Amino acid sequence: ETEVTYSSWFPGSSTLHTKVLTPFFDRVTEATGGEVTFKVFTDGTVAGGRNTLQAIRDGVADMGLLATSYHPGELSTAAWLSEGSILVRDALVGAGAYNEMIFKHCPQCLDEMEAQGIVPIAYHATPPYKTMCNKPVETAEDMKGLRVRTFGSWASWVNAAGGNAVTMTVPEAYEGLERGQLDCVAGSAAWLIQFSLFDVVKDVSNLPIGTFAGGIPLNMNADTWGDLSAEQQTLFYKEGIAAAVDVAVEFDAEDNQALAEAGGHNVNVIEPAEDLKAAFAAFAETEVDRMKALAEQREIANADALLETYLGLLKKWEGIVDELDGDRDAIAARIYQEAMPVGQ
Amino acid sequence: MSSLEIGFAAMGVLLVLLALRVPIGVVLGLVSLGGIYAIMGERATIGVTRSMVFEFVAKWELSAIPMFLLMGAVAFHSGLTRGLFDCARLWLSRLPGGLAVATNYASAGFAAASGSSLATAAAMARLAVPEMLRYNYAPSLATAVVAASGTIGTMIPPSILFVLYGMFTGQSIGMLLLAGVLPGLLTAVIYGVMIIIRCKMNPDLAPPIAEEVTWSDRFHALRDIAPLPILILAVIGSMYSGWATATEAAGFGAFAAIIIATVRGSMSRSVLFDSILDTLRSTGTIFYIAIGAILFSRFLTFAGVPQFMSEMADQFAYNPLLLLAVIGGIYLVLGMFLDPMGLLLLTIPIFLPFFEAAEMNLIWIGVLVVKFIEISLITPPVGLNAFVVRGVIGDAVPLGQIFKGLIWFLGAEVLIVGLLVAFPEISLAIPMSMQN
Amino acid sequence: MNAVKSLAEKFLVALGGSALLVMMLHITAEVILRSAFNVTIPGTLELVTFYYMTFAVFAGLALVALLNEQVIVEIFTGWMSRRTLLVIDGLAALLGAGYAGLLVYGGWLEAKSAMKFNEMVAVRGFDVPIWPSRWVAVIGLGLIALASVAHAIALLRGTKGPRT
Ligand code: NA
Ligand code: NA
Repeated sequence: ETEVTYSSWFPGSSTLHTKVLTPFFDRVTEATGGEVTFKVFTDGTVAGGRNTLQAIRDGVADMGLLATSYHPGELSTAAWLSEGSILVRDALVGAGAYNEMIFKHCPQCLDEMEAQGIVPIAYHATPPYKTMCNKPVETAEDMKGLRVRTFGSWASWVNAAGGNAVTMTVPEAYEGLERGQLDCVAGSAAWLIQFSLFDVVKDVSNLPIGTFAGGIPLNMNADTWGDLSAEQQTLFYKEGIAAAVDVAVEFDAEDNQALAEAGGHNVNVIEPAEDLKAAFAAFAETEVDRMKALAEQREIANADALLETYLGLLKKWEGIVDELDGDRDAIAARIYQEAMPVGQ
Repeated sequence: MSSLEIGFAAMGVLLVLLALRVPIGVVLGLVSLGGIYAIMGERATIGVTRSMVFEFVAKWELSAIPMFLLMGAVAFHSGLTRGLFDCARLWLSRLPGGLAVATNYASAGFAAASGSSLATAAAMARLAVPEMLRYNYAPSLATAVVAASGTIGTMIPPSILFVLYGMFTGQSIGMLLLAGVLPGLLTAVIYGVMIIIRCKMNPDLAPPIAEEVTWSDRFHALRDIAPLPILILAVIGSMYSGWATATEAAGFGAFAAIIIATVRGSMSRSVLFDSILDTLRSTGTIFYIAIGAILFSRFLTFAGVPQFMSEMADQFAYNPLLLLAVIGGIYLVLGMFLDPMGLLLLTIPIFLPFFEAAEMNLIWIGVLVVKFIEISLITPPVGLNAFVVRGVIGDAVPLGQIFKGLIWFLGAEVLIVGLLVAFPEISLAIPMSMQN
Repeated sequence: MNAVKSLAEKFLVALGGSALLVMMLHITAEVILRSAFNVTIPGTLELVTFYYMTFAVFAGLALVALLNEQVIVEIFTGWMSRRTLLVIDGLAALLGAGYAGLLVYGGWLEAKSAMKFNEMVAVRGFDVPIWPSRWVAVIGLGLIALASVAHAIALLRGTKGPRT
């Protein structure tokens, strides 16, 4: 019998836990007939976002909520691929393409994880971020001078559009919107509920500005992993991918619910004007160049070839997701079949 | 031993080591590492030492602590707060117990520049106690008013305890700082009324002062402390207006203090050096304990203590008032020998599940917890504010006299706590007014 | 011995003091530029977090250990003789040294690893390496350990009085 500890810095009440991870843990425990059980520490009581990598590496926890973007040094290639968030159409496409990229086409990504003594099990992507503001943002002109709390490629977009990207923690962003240090926060529409942004936001721009691909919600300390049987490992991969798809579907449902509730909170959801859409599309064209420049700066080996593969995979998974019409189980099965390091 | 047993055994060891004069930060840290080793073994223990300390220190929100400390140190060393007592004396000396009332309100003013109760009490003890003794005030009153009104230093922003409370409970630091404003002022007013009534009924406590004070003197004194409101504006105003976040307001406040001192011509290399030295020492003292506390709360988590506590909290169909009374009592007892920061950081991870289970407003609870901790500063046998006063004035007044004088202030605190519990609006009105 | 102590003290005040002042100026510049000119300085949050805070705090921690100013509880030992207090305080200082020693060991392992992997944080437009800060932590914690050992020796040999 193995008790596996999981360290998360998300609230225990978040969708990630209630709708994705808790069901995952239950499925694994049931399928192993109680051989593998889980002890979950939420709300950062064991490790925060930045030091979860160390906590898993050092065996303080067996598993944990990792984000590649926190570790551009240690997980350099994967973190760099995550920077291309604007290239990713939606969460399901991101889940398919990113997992296939890492497990099948990026040996150096796997080496980077191995060097940390951590086994990746499944990667996830979030639904596209939106811009949530305390003033209407409809046209390209409206973006000028806006102070937006964001980071990574979203920050590049905000600056390219004539706005001003600001770095703050999320709780600070709440106060920032409330008191005017900020005009907007770029993030999941679900934050309107999760972080009570409904209280401080008046208008949401419904322009999708790219997803975050490259969370590693399922991973394991290599020693703990080694103690599992081959069947148990296969089970983790299979259920892990189902969980990664659950992230996409459940987060999307939560975003949509938040947008649907917006009216009740006197928050307007504003569709982007044509010139704003055009400005974003023009910016997205330049993203590949930015990725290449970043790769050079960070000395990522093989960057051009990797990027080309990744772009191809994004196209491929756009087709698959459309073909399967967003069907949760079918997409999970397809990712497991095409992307995972087991089962062939 | 089960993990939970290890958790509770460790709390016992912790109390013994504390009693044996091991520094609080060291006790918290060592007991936690020992407990983590017992529960999880060597590898995880080394893992904890590898990343947790640095992770805790490298935190944007906590930058408010050294910045608020620097602001207070500059305000003090450059003499910005020196005129407070003189000014309050000129305006209030005609009242019964006028100098004590003046001391009380000067402390409230000092609180707006200082993030800590001990610093407030130390500064006022130096200025006000000799003056009151010179006018034949009862020593118990002269010392107690300083020790008691010093506690306002933590309630009125800036406040180190509120920053730490916000950090450990995930509550908005800006809301917490603003929540302390009215309770701090309420404390000053009730103390003031209590002093006046007491001195009216027993004039021997505070003989009237035959000092001729002109209005021109009064306004002149006011001019001397005029920069202080600017400092208050820099901190509270920059937050309220949306210029700065609560964290940034601290750095901005420190800058404002240096600018004010420079404009007044009271800035010098030695003022800057003394301020920096004070700030580093206080920062070190605070983080020594806070790092131990973060390891302790990690250890309690591994031991399952918070989960156990919240199950207990769920089990008994309690009433929130009873919960508050019990927790207030625990603070009184622990406060007999623990310092305010140690007290806060030791108890929060244990009490938080109770507050959450009872669905209490954690901003309001923050004010009450800070109030309980402040009260522990003026209760025997270890009342740090009484110690500070005694340390500053030397042998002139025995400790017993100071605590005797403090009984009246403790009586006033019963009323203040009652009001804060009965009317959460006192704490919540200002922070809530910020929303929309 | 005293020369070493005074040198260490100067070093810590210089390191921590500059961190404090630069932190204050950087935050103030950010507030003013953003509020008045709608300009933000890239990296304010990251530099405050990973440089100014770590430098100021670890310098402060080491300074407190050097001056032997950690907060202790004295109430239960007031009746003890000076001799007993010296032994108790000496042992307490040894415990403090042991604690700091553990943190130094962990911090040192982590600093080595962080340097090897070029630990950094991504800021808009550039990356800020974090690993040098980890060594500052090791130095600060190391000074605490050394200072605690020195205090323990002085207390146990009776060349200085117990804490009061
Ligand atoms: Na204060
Ligand atoms: Na007390």
